[in-house]
Amino acid sequence: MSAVALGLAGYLLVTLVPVALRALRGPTTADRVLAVTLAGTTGIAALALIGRATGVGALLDVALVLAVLAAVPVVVYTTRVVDRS
Amino acid sequence: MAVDVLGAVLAVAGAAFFTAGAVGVLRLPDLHSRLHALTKADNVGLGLVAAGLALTAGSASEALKLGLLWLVTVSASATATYLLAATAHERAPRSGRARAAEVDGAG
Amino acid sequence: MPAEALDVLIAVALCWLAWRVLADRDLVRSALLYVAFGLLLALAWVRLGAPDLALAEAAIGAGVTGVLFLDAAGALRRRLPTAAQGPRPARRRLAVLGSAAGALAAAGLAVAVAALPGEQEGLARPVEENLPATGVGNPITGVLLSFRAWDTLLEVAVLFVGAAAVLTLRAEWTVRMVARRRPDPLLLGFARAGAPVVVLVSGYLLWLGGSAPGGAFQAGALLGALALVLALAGAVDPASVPGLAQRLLLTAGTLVFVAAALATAAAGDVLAWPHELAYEIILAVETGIAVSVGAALGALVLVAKPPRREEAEGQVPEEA
Repeated sequence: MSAVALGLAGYLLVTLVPVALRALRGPTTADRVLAVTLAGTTGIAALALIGRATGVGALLDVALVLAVLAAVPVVVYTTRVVDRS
Repeated sequence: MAVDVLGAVLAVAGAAFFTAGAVGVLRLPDLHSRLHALTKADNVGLGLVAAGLALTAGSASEALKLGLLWLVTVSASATATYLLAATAHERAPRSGRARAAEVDGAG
Repeated sequence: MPAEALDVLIAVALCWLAWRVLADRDLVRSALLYVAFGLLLALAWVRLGAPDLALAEAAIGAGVTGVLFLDAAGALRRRLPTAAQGPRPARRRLAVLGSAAGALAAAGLAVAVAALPGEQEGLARPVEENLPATGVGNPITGVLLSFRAWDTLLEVAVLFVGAAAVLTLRAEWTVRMVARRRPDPLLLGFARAGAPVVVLVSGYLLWLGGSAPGGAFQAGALLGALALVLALAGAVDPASVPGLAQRLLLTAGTLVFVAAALATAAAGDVLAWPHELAYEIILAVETGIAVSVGAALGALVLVAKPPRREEAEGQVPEEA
């Protein structure tokens, strides 16, 4: 399981490349926010897997913190950045 | 032993959904379809990975933490994608009454 | 082998992201890339074997500072659309010069570090040897709140001063953006339902800090994010929190810490926690710090200039 977990974590980090491309291309800011949110969730999965592979339990806590904070940039974007008349 | 294999299979399946999500976010034509791709990765992708890890977890508390992780992500992602879609719809409606009003107004 | 390749990839991606954050013309885009940068940096800390820093980076860097930048960039884009478009070409040349100078300095530093004699022992062993005297099991907490408690006390005071400085720009907390529209029911429900979970996770991190990665600043960052979301969702109107409560929340950390310091001063040795009570004292101080950090971070974002009259009447400039 540990070897599989580490390999999967590495693979998940590679899947961040298309997400990063979307973050750069846009075209709208919402697309970029979307990409950053997906990057966060991918990071959560990768952290949980690395935590299992290396035996560092704290990484699961890091993943939990990221999960709790995942929605915050989106909330700030839609309520404070977007112009609404 | 069988549990380990099952856990690994679940995690790999989860990674497949993350792949679908990443590719979808890059290749799909507009914001709304990309949001669909995002939710697949967030909900099913993370769910399968968490399930695989929970099955092979060292303790019940670790498995519970994984479950909490998934629940928090599902609700956060649902709210986030809804907010993004609603904001986009408000500003540039693609369907429904708001769109009809916009078309009529322009016409 | 693959681990080293991953490390190189992370290092390169970090440098590239940092360049994009600084070079981007659109400040909102920079802020979003900065959040991504924070996520990647947390991963780098994991690879460097520092889960405490990864936790802090995830909580504070990706979650809070990124949000601060995003909010500021959005406000700037609304009020000064041209200013939010990034540096002009003349400044760009200066930026290139500056980057070259920075790269040179970094190279010089690398050469100097590489030339250091032999294996550096560092302070890990003395810390480990003296840790039982602190009453906590986590060496980071031991260093922050026992060996270097004085530094942490000053840090907490600085955070308080920062929040106070921001608050003096406005007479009160205002969140007018939300008051102008109907609060979104889903966001409201999410904020309300999520609040107990966030408080739970925050308390868990706070308590965990005694023995494993965690602690006051991370817990405080979560509380700050919660306060922010509750206010933005319309669940809580920050202006309705009585002034005294606001001031108490902001100063809790400083007050508790100073009180503990004064008590130990009276007993003889300043900031030397008595061994039997050390764990409890540290937990109490950390709780105060967490509350204040949360309040300060919430204040930094929620303090907002009320819209000018034309904005209030709905004639805002469109987002670029």
